[in-house]
Amino acid sequence: MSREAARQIKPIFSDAPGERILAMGNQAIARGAIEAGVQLASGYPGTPSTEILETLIAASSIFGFQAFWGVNEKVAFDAATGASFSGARSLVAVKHVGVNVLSDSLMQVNHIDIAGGLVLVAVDDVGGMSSNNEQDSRFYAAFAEIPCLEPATLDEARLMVKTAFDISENMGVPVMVRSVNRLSHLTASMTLGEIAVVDKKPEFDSSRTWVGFPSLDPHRQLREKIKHAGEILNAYEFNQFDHHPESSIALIAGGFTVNYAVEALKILGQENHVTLLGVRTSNPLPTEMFHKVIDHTETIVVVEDVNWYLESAVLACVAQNARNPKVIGRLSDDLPPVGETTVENLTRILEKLIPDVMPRPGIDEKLADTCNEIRVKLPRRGINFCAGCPHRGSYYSLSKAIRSLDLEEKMAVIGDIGCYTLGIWEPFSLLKSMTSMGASMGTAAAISQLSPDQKTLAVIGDSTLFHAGQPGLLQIALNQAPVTVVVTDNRVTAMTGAQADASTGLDLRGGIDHSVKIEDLARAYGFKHIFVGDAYNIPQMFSLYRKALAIDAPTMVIARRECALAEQTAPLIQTKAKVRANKCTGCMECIDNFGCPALQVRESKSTGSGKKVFVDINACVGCGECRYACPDDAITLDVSALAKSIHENRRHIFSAAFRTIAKNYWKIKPAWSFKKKLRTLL
Amino acid sequence: MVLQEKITNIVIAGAGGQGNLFASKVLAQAAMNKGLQVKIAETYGVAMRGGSVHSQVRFGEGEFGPLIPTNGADAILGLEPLEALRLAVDYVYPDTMIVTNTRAIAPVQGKASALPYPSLETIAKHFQEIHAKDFFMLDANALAQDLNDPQSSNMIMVGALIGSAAIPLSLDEISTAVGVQSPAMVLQKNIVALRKGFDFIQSRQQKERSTETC
Repeated sequence: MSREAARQIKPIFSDAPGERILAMGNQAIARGAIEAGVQLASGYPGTPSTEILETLIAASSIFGFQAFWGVNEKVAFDAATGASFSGARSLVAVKHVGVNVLSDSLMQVNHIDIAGGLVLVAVDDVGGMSSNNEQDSRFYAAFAEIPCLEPATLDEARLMVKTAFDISENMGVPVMVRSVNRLSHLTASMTLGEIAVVDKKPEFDSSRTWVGFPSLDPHRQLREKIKHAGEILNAYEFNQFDHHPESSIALIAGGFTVNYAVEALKILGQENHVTLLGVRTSNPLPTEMFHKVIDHTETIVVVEDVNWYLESAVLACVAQNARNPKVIGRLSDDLPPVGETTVENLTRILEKLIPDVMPRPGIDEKLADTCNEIRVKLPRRGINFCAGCPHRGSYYSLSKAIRSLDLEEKMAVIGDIGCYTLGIWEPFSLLKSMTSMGASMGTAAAISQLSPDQKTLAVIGDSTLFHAGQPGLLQIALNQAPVTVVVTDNRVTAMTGAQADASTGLDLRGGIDHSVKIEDLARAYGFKHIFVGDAYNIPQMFSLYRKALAIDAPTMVIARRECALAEQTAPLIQTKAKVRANKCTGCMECIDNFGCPALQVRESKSTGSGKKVFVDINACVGCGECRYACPDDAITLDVSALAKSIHENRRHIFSAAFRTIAKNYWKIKPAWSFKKKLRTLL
Repeated sequence: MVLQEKITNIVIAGAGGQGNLFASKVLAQAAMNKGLQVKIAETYGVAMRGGSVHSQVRFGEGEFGPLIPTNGADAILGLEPLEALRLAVDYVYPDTMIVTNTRAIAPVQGKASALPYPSLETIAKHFQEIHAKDFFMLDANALAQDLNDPQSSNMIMVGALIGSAAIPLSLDEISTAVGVQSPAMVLQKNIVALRKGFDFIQSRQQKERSTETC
């Protein structure tokens, strides 16, 4: 495809230097890599970093480079290492916890004098908005003794990623670019730069060895490199120094938090009075500038997300300096020790420090009280499975199976990372533990062996199993640990927007290749008891779970059904659920224990018989799971719509219509026997 | 809002699947076309799973951060009434204009934590209590149904926001921006929807003005 054609698809791919476009932070990062002539890009999906590689995968066919989802972050980083050893530029984009996974390789590749530029983009989820934890990746850069750049704007993100490749090649070490969720998911205007033309063919250089052993000499070389990195980084003049030597107060802000510092100073009218050092080179830090700040101040406010990386470095400089200004930040507990930096927090601190400052205008106390009173009355809009999510069926049938076996008090249900993690909360409240990717396997193995009177069950998704669950799954088999492993196989990495994984049936570069069947994997590991069902088919799953829970050996239940979000991209099923009002008794089973967003309640006006359930047809995707969550057979599927959808697809009778019938046949099967059982379980 | 002159702060409140981000992009694109700096911040990740979806659009001259400070919105655009109220209590200032869709999407709640969904009358009463400058409530879904285009309620709401004159963008500027952000096949529908929302608010304002003079 020509570059002009590329522009038609997305402005971010446009070869028009100087053009200003509206883009997302993650796209700016991807654009920087494209402009630098990246030849290989990889990563693993994870909010808030996912769109970097999504953009690069979309770009790869246009610009002719390799881009693919790694099975996990370490594999992605190892692939980038291979590219670097072949003289090619490579980029790895992961969220903060992904850095943990790849760190084993990072801590050794840094000991090798690499060839092609290797850029590691780490995106920290400040505030843990879509994560299990909060974590500051800058410490990894210091730990690995590699340079780290922190952009504050989209233009900086693009430019710093581009430059990071040069720095990496210049020094022969990987370079980290640290972003945060607020930058990666910020949409703003950005200027496009020139795209490099790559004519160098990658080739592995076997004239030398790429090892860091014996390690003392390589480590010494690494120390020398990082010692001189400051001179290299200073030449780019990334750091921003608004120096006001007459001021007794200074702000030192890192990366994206510079934005908050600038705004706080503007609100208080202090932008031309208070010294502001906006740090972009997080490793090595511009300590000479720190000393210049220390030389004229009484108080230094350090602004940064997540931990006290900058603050401790500033304190170290103060210890070396003859002057002794007070250092205020997260470590000193003057700013909140966890969560995002906010303009509100900064203005509050600065109002106290700066004499005669005009405070930030706010609302009066009475109005604030009124707002608080209203706030507590509002019903929460909690997170929930989507309409048509197969996990809802998986969990509904599981909770009924557990109840039917009277195991509720005896279960240890161990969860993992993915959409199915929502099973921790209402209405299912099944999962009692969740730690890192794939951890459910090893954790469950131990619990089942230590506490045989309990029944141990572990829930893991397909992508998470492939990512880091496989070693633990093998451990369960090797230990003959009596764990029921439930695999919620929706055949994509769903939580991050349905990216392909090993279960999808596509190869990870987007072409049709093959999928890995998880039951084959378990069989190869030595699992003797494997059950495979359709997560939508609640009666089937119910009976499979009952069988599996009765077995005192490693057992696997696979609840397989494509993610509803992935399915919506090609809607074949045009049916909708409907509630027969005369049959709905208002028992609220489907609302309280099933909880589909398409099922809603209204007061019945005609009969005066209280609450009735109805289907919000805009939300309903016609999955039919809810039919089984009604003990009174009041919920049915509009089969006429199904017939219509088949009719509309009749021209593709050998593919679409047959697929529709085959995939939905069970929906029109009667479900009476299960409903009888359900009644006894209510 | 008097925090900083020349910066316009818009909060867009809704639930998943309502086209919140598209609405914010249209507003930002229109501002960008005028040569202004723009920033959109959004909620994402797990929040998308049926939770509240909230985005913020800021535009103006010079440097400013990504987030609207609390009690700093010039306008709150509600694609869903409960979400509009939820954000109004965080971002309202006596100069804030609230424009919200009245079509409720009841949250799915566990039974233990269930609080009743407030009636539209209650929501309107709360808007009055928090001293917003003014507020408009309209059934954008019904208007979208009139247009035979149920997906267009977000554009109707953007049109209504422009009609309320709460932000310094004109209908023409927004229409041009829609042209940049929309795929060609829905462009015309989006323009029609914008106009519908705009006219609805304009005619209501005229009606109010004429009753005042009577």
